[in-house]
Amino acid sequence: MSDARYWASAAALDGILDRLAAERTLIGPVRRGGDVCFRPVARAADLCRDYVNALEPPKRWFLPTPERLARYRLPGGAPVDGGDALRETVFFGIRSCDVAGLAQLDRFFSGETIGRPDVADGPYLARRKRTTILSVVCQDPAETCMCVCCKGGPALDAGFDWQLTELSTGWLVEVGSAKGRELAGRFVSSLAPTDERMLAEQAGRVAGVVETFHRHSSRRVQSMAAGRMVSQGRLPEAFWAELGERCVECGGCAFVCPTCSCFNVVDAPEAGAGVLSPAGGPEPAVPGGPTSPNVEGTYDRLRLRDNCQLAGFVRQYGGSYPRATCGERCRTRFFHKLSWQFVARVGTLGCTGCGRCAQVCLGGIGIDVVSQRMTDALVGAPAAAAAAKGA
Amino acid sequence: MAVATQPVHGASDLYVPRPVRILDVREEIVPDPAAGTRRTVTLTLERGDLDYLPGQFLQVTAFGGGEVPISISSPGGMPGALYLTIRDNGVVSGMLVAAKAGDVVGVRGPFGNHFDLDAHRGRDLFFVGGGCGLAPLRGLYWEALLRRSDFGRIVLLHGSRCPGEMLYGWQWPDYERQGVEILLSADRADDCWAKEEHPPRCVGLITKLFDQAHIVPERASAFLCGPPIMIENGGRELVERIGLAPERVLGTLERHMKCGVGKCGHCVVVDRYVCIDGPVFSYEELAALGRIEPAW
Repeated sequence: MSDARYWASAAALDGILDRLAAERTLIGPVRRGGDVCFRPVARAADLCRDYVNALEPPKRWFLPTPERLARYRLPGGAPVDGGDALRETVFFGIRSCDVAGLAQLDRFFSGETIGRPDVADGPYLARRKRTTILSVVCQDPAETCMCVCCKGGPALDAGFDWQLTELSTGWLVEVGSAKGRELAGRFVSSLAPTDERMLAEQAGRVAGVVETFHRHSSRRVQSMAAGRMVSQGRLPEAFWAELGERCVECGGCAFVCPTCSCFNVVDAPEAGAGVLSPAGGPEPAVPGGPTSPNVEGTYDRLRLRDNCQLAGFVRQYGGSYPRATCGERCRTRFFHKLSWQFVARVGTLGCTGCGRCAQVCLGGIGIDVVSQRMTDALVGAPAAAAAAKGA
Repeated sequence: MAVATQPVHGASDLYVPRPVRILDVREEIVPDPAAGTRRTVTLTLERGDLDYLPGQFLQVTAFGGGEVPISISSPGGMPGALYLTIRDNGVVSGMLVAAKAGDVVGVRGPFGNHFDLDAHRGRDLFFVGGGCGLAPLRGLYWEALLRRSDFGRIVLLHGSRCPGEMLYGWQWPDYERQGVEILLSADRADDCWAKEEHPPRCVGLITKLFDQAHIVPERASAFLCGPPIMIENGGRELVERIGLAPERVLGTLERHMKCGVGKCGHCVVVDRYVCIDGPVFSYEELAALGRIEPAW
């Protein structure tokens, strides 16, 4: 629950954002060729205000690809010190589903979900530590939004530094962390106390979003029944084979998912980050192995985004190939998202209801469709249809 | 204007390999394109202050090439050095098997859980290694030999695709002198190999050796490593046909981990991270995983 609330006029909030943009990197939603993405902006006026959500979740700023994890020099392999310098960053305009996604990534990369704080991921946590999250409560959900099903929104109790809700007269600012309190202290002259009317308006607006979702959206993440089916291994092979036939193996679902974080690690010559970019360059050193191994020079150990839906993800030496079929890979993905086993481990569903997988899936097997099919498999399709109609 | 900066790498050395010198290289398997065998070597590395237990693995860097997970093939208490048996199977392993004494490789780890030998004190130990799968078991049976009086029979069952692909044959005479029973199987072999009487052998799958091994289920523990199908079928035979308790049958899974620390997701089986929760699992656990992800 938020520990302090303030009110800010629209002009005051823009003033705060302008000052933050001047002293740190301010990242927020901007329009690019018809899509909205998170990008650095120089001033508040550059921010897009009329958007449902960004095309991509903010994870690309915390898990950039490629990202240098280490650097060493040959011959000898001695580690070379020095890495990318990190600026303090402020994220404005993240929606609650993505805040929930980041909270999940925080628990994962800190080692909390596996009970191993000794293997916390330094590069990720360093970026997170230097980031302030100013989330904005969504008031106009898209047809694909499903946060209400997954405790991913429309408003949250925690995970943000500031949670902002646009009211008729300005902004309600909810402070959710020590960093948020510090920020409120710095900008205290731009903030005013809240009154009951404002809090009631916010509660009303959030309730309105939930109602709109229940009334108008046909999409749901059917987590209870689906979780039961997938957790107990009760879905027949044919169920997964059919999903595998629909999947075109583009990996889009995992790339746009705010909680998916699988990665590959490769070593490449110092310029590797450049040659891995789509712009090309000389013959790529990786993936596919070095073209001239053991050449003297400086090498980078790079983290690259990876994806459990892609065929090579679990390929092993010697021809052993677990999950060789696309259907088996679909099973792994949805097990990770919906199973009780992972809920027990992670503390929440692996889905925050952002709906991006439903938007990008070329085969029409976003998590809403698949979880509905799982429910149908449990209770029978006609019963599920009747239940949906009744609701 | 306040700009706060700090190097990323100051935050963690989780992914940074430690340079370690190779002390020796032993040729284990000679490559033979006709037989389909690949060069396999055992590297002896400087151990330094690295503490490990049997069953654990290292992430090994061929500098300039990349990193692969390799099981440790020496007993935990061995002073000064540790062994890694590596087969030439790809870019990085190819660079590692081409290394010479004096070269430097990188290591991270050790990672993963381990075999708890104390839990099997007083029992007969059966080590079932298919192909390169003998390498992760070697540290364990070696350790058992160092504490020979703690255990009953020690039986080594080693199967491979062909006789030329068997591992550590040079150690067998020494093992036999210490009372280890050795049984061999090859998926295919010529008559000449098949007719040799010692060590006892068969042509066929390694599970064919179970009947020759005179296993008394009440006092036996089995340790399996090899291709998933071998662990699955071997484990099932031992439990369902021969009657071992499922918690006394332990398998060690292989996955191509990229991180070793439960982050990259490459080794996930159902809800288990092989690098953190494994690689050692009981047959009981493996069977439960198999109900959701058949053949893992």
